[in-house]
Amino acid sequence: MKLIDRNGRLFGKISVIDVLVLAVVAVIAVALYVKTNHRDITSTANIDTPITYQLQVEGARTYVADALQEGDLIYEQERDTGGSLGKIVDIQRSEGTRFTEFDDGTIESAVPAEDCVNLLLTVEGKGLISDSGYMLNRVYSLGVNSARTLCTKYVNFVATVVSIMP
Amino acid sequence: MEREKFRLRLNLFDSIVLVLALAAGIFLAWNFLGASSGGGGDTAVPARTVRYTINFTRWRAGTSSLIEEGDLLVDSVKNYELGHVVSVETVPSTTLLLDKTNRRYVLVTAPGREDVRVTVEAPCTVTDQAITVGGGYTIAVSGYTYIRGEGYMASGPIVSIEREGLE
Repeated sequence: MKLIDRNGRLFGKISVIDVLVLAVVAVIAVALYVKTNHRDITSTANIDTPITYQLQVEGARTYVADALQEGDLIYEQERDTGGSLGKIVDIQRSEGTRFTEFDDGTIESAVPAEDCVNLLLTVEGKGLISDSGYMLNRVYSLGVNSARTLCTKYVNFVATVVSIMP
Repeated sequence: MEREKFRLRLNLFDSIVLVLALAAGIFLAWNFLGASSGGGGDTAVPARTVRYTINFTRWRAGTSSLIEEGDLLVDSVKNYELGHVVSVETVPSTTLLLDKTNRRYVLVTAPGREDVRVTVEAPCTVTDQAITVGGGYTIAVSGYTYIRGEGYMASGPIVSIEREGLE
């Protein structure tokens, strides 16, 4: 018996085209099943370790600082954060300064800035703590000295992680 | 010669394939067209109204009279409707500059120019992460906007968003 007969049927029984279509449908079905159940599996993993960290906002205009309030949820615009990066639980304000390079070849890290404010935000999030570091929501790496463009529902701002307190 | 009448004949395997393909198509269409799953538990709330203020920067002194309550403002980049003007306030135009002599940043007034604080009201969609107007334009304090008004153009940052009714 030939593998494919003159009518294009595999072993004379089923059309080769039908076999190909069946294979494609089977692959799609398996992919959907894995995708659906993969989420369920990860959702049962324990990601509830509280992680408290502090963000420094330097030299923000007053109207930006006023838009940040305790209780706001923080996100990052450009990366997948797996949800909120935490809730602001405390805000400390101080006189605004900016890191500045001068034309005379000098650098000052805290040049006073009028109508600006420095903020120290304390944020409570949840995630994993392991030997390799901290992961908020299992997908977002958190590290001291990382500077990111963050946002709440009301405001965009640039902040640097200055401490992590598990 | 008469043509044979067309008859659709499906063998067993063709029938199975057809049913599976239809089921897969319906499932995919349902997921794609249905409510978005979203990331991180975002839940969209039915449309509300938001009031926010945009600072039109460095307008020529006296030209703020062109702006009238009720004017429709539109994003000049992608034509999103940003809302209608509800109030207009003119303030001296200021810029934060580095005073290299005294080594500090100072707020400097620009002569012959004014900043215009325009409060806008618009229907919006609110999620945990963002407020959008005009069907897709995200507004946030410090976000820079490029605006086309009724006979004028402007640019400047959003300086405040009223929280009432959005929490």
